[in-house]
Amino acid sequence: MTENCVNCHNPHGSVNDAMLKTRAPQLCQQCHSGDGHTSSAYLGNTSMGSSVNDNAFTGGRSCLNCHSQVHGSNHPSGKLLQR
Amino acid sequence: MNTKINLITLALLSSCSFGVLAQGYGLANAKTDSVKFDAWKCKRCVVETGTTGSISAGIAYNSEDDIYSANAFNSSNEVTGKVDADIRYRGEKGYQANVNAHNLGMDNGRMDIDVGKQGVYNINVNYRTFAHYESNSALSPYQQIGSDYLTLPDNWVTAGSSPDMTMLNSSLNPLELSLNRDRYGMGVEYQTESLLTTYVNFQREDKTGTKTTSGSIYNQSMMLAEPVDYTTDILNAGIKLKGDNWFTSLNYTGSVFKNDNSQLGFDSAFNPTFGAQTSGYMSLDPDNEAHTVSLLGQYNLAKTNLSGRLLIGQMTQDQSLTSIGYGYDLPAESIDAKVDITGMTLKATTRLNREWRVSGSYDYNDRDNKTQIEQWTQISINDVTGEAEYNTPYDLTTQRAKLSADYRISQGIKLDAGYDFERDERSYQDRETTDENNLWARVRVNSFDKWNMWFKGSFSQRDGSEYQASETSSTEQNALLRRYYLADRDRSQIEARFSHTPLTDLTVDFGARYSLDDYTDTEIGLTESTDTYYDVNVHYAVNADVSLNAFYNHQTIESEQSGSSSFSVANWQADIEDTIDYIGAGISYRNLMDSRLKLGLDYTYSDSDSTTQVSQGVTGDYGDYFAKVHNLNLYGEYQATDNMSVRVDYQMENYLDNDASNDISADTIWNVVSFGNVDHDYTAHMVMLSMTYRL
Ligand code: HEC
Ligand code: HEC
Ligand code: HEC
Repeated sequence: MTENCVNCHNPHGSVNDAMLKTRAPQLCQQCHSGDGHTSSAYLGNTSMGSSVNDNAFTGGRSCLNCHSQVHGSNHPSGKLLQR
Repeated sequence: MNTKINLITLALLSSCSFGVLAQGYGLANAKTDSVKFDAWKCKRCVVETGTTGSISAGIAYNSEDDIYSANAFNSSNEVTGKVDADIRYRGEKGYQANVNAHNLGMDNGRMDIDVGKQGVYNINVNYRTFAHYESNSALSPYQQIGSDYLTLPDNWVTAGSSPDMTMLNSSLNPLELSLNRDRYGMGVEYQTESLLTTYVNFQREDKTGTKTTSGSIYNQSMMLAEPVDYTTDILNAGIKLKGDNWFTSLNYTGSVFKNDNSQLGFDSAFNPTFGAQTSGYMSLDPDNEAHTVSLLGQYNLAKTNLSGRLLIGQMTQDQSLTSIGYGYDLPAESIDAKVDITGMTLKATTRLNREWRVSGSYDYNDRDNKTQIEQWTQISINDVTGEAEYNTPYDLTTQRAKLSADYRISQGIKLDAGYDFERDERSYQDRETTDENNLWARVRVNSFDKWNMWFKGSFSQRDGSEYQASETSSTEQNALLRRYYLADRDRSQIEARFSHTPLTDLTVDFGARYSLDDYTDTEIGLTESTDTYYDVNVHYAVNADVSLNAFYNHQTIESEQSGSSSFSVANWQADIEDTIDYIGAGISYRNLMDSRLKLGLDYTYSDSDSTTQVSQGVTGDYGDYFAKVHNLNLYGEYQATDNMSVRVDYQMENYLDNDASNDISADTIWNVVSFGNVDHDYTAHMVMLSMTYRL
């Protein structure tokens, strides 16, 4: 996946850290829609009491909290980009 | 959040330099090119001998505690010194030497020393540094920061959630996240009378520091400081031959990347879950190499230019796999990755007559991944314990053909237009082939007095072979998902620029651009994005001594995407709007006090802001996500004697950013131990005093 950097980064600059085109989780959800947590609607702050910083899917580093090896891994168990 | 893109651009470019260098367009190459041709042109010039130039030294004081300000001031020290030099020596018989230094001693310092004989040889030694600072207030309970195993304090008590970790708050210590690069290089270039040049350049770059990563075990995660201790060596060498109407060169570029740390281990802060793991090991960027050889040629006929390039290369990676804590058999010690690269470019341009010029090009790039496919057992970081997976050696072949024509309609009106075609073929992806057809046209009008302008429009359409969502994914994807880099897409772009000179001393430039990407067959994924940009620049020379300039630019990027939480049709929608405003003005005043004093003032303000809204019945937003930065630079330079001048610089930066999703403390999110809030809010000042001596 990482062979083309501009799939995720904008070399002309962006509002996001690391010059990401879009940040997680939206960035990841533009390419992942499985039957599970990759395709849930992460609403952020709502009047129903949820908040953008209270869960690991939108808060902190979002999807990267758990899948921090976005650029790949040299671990035999690195498939899920967690190792 | 970021508005200061320069340093990251550099970081990105240099990480990309693998790819860039692989194509033989390394910086060092470009540099030797210009050195050589300058030398040839001047071969018979009469030059005076002796030493000329200037040297200056400065000392600066920086008031700020937040290390982020060092990105603007180029030093994280409270007191720092610098040296600038531009010294040229010209001896008898063409012997010469140059010393060029800028901000040496500061974070963005550089120096070049060249010694040689004009038109015969040149020896260059160079040095360059870069730094980027993220934060010095990230909080972590981990110890041994910077090493390849991060430990928790001896008295740590694990818990099922971060708020229940009794030792967490008392164990937090601030740590620094910053990266520093030092680059050393040397090169030799030799020319003979037969118009043959050979060159060898070597460069070593050491990159050190710490950056953010996360260690996770199943659904629990800890932010960690990843140690960075990389060495990248780049060697390029070649031969260039030049005749009256032709040029050819053969070049080699090799780069070798080494990481001092192959893995990062960490204690788990949580109670063990799946697999009963109390620690984890993650793999860090593995050592790897890339070697390319390229042949370039150019041939100029009276009205036609032909050029071409052939490139072959190989990238390899055979660093041992990270196997600490991995209890299964490994089918191989290392992945032993091998990727062959082949490239070819052909280009022709011809001038048919006074009105018409036509050019065409063809580009072929192939990436053939020769890595063996093996079966790898996945360990219990998740509940799918022991599942086997295979590595997927992606191949990619890209072909591009371009045809364009320039037509001079009249004295001041020119038209150019073209057609571009691109075909990408991939393996192990949802779509084997994508084709993109692009048509564009531009009109340039210079026929009006005091006005220059051009207009450009383009339309491109991408489609391809059948899209098979999840054909190659290891986990099934929604069948309606179209990954945007493979999806059908219509792209329309328009752009216009004007330059107006109402008075001889006043220039106004302005331009605008709009582009729309419409993903025509996408129901899940990115469906549409637009990018709007405009800018205005004014330059006014009030009189011979005073000049004013001002600019404003604005960009809005909007994107829309859809998802499905029910693994069927789209049932949620996300809208993102990013805006960037950048405004600035400056004045410079020369020849004050008997032509001895020069004053200048520059001010800029940048504001970047992003809003994200997601709706599924209810609509939520992602809160404040922005960066607002004011920068002021005031300077005065006084020519004290004929040879000596003094200068004072004052710089101010007022920086405020916020990211609502990171308005957290270490234990706000139950299954994450975070670095806490690393936003910035400061006003920093720097004063620099410097003295320049003219030789
Ligand atoms: C799948 C999307 C994706 C692709 C493709 C990708 N990146 Fe990234 N990159 C990311 C994300 C997400 C981050 C932010 C990581 C973080 O927050 O720490 C990032 C961060 C970075 C950073 C800064 C942090 C660091 O780890 O040093 C650099 C440099 C970088 N990427 C370079 C590259 C290069 C070079 C390529 C192409 C070879 C590339 N990226 C391709 C997603 C991607
Ligand atoms: C441009 C498209 C793209 C983006 C953006 C992207 N990915 Fe991926 N990702 C892929 C592809 C392609 C694969 C490999 C094929 C597959 O397994 O679906 C992959 C694989 C993965 C895997 C392994 C999946 C498995 O079942 O083996 C994970 C985990 C992952 N990505 C996480 C992320 C995260 C987190 C982000 C956001 C930071 C992200 N991806 C952004 C395209 C993308
Ligand atoms: C709290 C930790 C955590 C977070 C946050 C997280 N993941 Fe995962 N992810 C996991 C684990 C554990 C698995 C493997 C087990 C499973 O499938 O549930 C996984 C599996 C995956 C897979 C492969 C299976 C599939 O469904 O395709 C992908 C892709 C993926 N995650 C992407 C994402 C994306 C995108 C995000 C952000 C929206 C994200 N993850 C956020 C822990 C996490």
